[in-house]
Amino acid sequence: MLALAGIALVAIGNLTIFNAQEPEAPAATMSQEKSGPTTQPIAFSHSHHVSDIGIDCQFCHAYARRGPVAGIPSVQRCAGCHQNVLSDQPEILKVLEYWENEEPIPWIRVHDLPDYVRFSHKTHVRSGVACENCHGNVATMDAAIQVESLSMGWCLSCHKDRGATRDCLACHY
Amino acid sequence: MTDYSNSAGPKRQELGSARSEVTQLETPLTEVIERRTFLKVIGSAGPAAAITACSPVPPEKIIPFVTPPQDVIPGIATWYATVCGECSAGCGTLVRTREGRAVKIEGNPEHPVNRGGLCIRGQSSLQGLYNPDRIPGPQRRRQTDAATGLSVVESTTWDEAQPVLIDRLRELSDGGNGNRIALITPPHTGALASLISSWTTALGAEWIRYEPFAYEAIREGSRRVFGRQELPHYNFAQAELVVSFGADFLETFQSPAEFARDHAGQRRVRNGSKGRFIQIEPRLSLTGASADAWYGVTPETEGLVAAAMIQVIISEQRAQGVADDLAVRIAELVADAAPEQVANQTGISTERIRELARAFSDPSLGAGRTLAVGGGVGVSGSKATATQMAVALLNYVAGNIGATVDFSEASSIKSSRYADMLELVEKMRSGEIDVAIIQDVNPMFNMPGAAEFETALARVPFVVSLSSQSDETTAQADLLLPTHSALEAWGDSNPRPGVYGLQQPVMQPVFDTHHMGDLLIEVAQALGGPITSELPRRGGFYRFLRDEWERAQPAGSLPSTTSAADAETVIDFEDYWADALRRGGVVFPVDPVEVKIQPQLFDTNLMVELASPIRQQDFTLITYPSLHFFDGRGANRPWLQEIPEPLLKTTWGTGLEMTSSTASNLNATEGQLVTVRSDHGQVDASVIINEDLVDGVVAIAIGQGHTNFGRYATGRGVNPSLLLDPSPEPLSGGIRWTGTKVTLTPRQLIRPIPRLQRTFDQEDRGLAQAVSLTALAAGEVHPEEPHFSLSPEHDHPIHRWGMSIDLDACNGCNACVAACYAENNVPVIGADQMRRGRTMSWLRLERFNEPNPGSSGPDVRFLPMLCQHCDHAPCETVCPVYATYHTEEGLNAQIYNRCVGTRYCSNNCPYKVRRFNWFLPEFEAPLQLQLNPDVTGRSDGVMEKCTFCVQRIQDGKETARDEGRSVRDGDVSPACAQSCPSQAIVFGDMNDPSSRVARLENDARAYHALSVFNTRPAVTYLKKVTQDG
Repeated sequence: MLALAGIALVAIGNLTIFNAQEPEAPAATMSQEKSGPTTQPIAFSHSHHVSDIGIDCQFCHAYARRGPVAGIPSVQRCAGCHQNVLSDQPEILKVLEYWENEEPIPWIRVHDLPDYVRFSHKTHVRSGVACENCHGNVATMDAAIQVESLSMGWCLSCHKDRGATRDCLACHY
Repeated sequence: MTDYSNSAGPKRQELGSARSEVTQLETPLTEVIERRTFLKVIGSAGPAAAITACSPVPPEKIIPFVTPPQDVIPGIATWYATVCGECSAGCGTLVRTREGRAVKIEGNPEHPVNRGGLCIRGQSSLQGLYNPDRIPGPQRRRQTDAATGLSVVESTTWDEAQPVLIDRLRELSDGGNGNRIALITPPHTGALASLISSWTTALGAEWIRYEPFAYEAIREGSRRVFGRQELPHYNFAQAELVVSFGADFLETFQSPAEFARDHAGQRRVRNGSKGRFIQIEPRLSLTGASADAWYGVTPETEGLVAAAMIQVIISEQRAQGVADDLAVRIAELVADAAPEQVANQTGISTERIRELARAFSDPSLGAGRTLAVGGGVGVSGSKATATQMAVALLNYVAGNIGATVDFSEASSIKSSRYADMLELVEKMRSGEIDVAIIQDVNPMFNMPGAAEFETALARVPFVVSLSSQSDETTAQADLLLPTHSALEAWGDSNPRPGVYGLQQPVMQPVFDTHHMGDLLIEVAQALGGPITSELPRRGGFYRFLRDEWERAQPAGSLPSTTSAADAETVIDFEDYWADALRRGGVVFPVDPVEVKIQPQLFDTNLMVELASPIRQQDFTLITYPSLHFFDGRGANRPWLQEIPEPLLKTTWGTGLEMTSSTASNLNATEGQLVTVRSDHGQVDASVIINEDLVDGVVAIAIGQGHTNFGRYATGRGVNPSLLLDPSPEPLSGGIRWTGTKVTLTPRQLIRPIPRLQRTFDQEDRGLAQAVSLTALAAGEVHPEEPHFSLSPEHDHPIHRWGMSIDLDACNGCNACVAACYAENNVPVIGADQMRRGRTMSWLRLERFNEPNPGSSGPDVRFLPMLCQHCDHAPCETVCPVYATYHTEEGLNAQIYNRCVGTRYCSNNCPYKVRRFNWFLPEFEAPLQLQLNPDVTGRSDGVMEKCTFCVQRIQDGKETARDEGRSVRDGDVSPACAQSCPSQAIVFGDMNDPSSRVARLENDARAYHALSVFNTRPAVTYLKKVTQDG
């Protein structure tokens, strides 16, 4: 109960479309195009962490089994290892600087669903959908890139194959 | 500041400009493209250009926690148990927070006061928390011109502002002038009250616990009759017959959420009978609208009716448990109150009074099974105390004291009397007060204008405001030190003996505010002196509160454990505290209290005190506390302004209520301005036609007519306190809210108040149906006519969600409507739109009138109307894009991203429950922080409507799946059903034959609205049950 003091306000993707800062999602997102690599504030390499070291996705994206959003690792989680590991490397120094300033790292969102879609990682992970089914083989990527279209047709093709619900109201409410 | 009444919602240009800002992020555009140029570009570059023009989406950031808080999973709600701070009732609440913001407030089912329900004002406390007109941080007045006295209010810091207060107080306390300090706060209870008490005592300062509705007359009446200056607790759950003399106990009186639940429980049909309820008052209140009969009575003669009932009960020897000699003496007190003698003055016939008295003392019920309640504000005229004495005696002769009227649970709230406030005003006026510290009360607005609080406050050299909301009173302050709202602060509440609610902050403060307790402690520590030894050295008010709770912890068990074995165990304070926090408080049993009639009572000449005033040609003004705004504190909340007042269906304003015959005598029409003059002031008010007033009476709701209370309230409606007699009622020292004589002069100006329902006539459509108790007991059932349908039947293989609404339990309190607004991000559209008959509410309360032969007024029926989720939905078949369709679970789905806004569905809906977004909804910052992230916001051009809270259905199903079981009855409760204080709404799976909703669908009272259309709704209404005769 007393942990309130530690709560930072987090911008979660699926808030609302009338947030004054956010534009209305344009129709084009219905058939999103695959994205190229995005310039992230830190040159983080997924392939190094996953393939070379063998860290499980959910070690960092810790909420995927438990909630609707997978979660971006907290700065504490990054710094937890990197205070001792490669702490003299220029990219790691950036991480440690965020940690010392108690500032979050402003990552750029790569997989972005329209605001009128309710997607739950928990439901999908618990039904045995693997991370790479939607996110591609992140183990070979440095910065994550969007591999699948994440369009409604793409979602539905999988729902059809797996016999999952195809009710509009399952995702749109 | 936006003039909300004239803003027709956000303009399309604004959306356009927002888009161009977005475009600039990607490809800076310096030129303004004119329309012709734009068309040329489109023409030459073809479709490709058009697509790129709207495709760039700015990259969104995804922000991680720096340090993840424990127990928080993003996207999953965290709930906190706390106490509602809206009024003194002390209802327990559960607040749902998401990512550190409070998004919904619900009643705590375990709290003994409200047990799950929460009134409309409590629901709206989120709009108090996020109100755009809160004082954002400390401010200080600086004189800009010494000659003219002009000044400006400037922002400052706590480090600079707090020493200003401390220096000022030190100056006074060092000079032995602590008595020149006054503190005016609401009637706090618990730890904050004991802190303030020590603080003011240490300084020698005066503390006024100002409460406009302090029920002085009930306290004084109880003192004169029983020797206890207290507000007894009314046990509605035990009362077979309730006779209320103007008490609005389902609206604002004492503890409405609690009373609504108890009362509804008692009025449920059991074994062919149900509790009866008679309301006696000059203006039909919302509470009176639920009564079996409403007896219109001449203002200020309610006490005579009560006295006549006593006279009948004693003369017919029906008194219960009253010693013979005492009965004789009581009979002497009311000897002149025979029904024949008072019938003429009161306007209630002799027979009716006799019948009422006999029913009230019916020996077949047994002693103590009836209840008379004297209204707080309703009967607060010049006869207030005498009326309450008569009511107390009436309860006494019916044997109700100790049964339905309980002094062992008398209110623990210690409010100051209005007369005490007047004494302070006099001191202020005569220059005896140097520093006035005012917190969260607004006497500038709700004290009678003629009491001249304003001029008195202007004589106080240094006015400090600790309020969180800027209002008429804070505008006079020299130093503003805004404090937390209840949802941001630690605290506790002790509404009555044995009930201790614990209030915890549910989120970080929205603005730069401090805790009032912290402030007082810091000030006291800076001033030094003996008080500092009572205060915690560090930890502020939180530590003080814990220390108080530690001192009060009873030896032995957790209060929640009842078994005798547990009672022996010593419980560590940390466990006790954690348990209290988790549950929202602790409850202890209380010892019974015996009360006796005071011999001094018989020195009073009750009949002289009750004597009816002489009728004059003038009109009598009745002012009454507003269901939505209480004493005015709720007026700056958009939901409370927008949701139609349930009886009159008025929105965004109040006016002068009069019957159509009064209006035609005056030559005035609905909406026309009338100048209302009393001996003490005058106001202009719009006419609102209300047929349910007795002759010669006009009424104005308290709570509107603000001159400086934020963007939603200022300049709206009319403030009746400007007309009131400032002198207190002589016996109790309370405000005389009722009985002011006024004259009316129509003006040739029209200022209509938007009203959302134009007729209360059902036109024989049978929307809100009723059945008499006899017919019900005789098993008369009128099944709906089966209809042949061409539409195919739907399959509902797993769930079929359905709802049942009991019209007999619904009292029209609007709690469900507010809950729906909060849960589903329903936008507020403002007065201008509502004047055109528009609204966005997914759930509305309809009021209908039917004849009621046994009553002076109509049989009022409330019908909560929402999407009926029809099996054969007329909306579904006309949607050209399949945006609305029937789901396998029986929901009528509305898919916003498919909707193209043809509005065919709305035109084809016989229930008129679909709402079209003509404009892009706007939520003024920081109100948008309240929005529920589980529900998509709708943009302009899209149809929306009730979803049966599909997000809560999904949540219930997911919880069941996580726990490896199927959904149980009660797992899913939409916001409306959850909030209902009288539990009129039941939701569940109709495929489960054991569910409550499935059983209610086959109830003898069940029917469907407009069944003639064969829409086969998933909403079942249960007919209202009327008493015979």
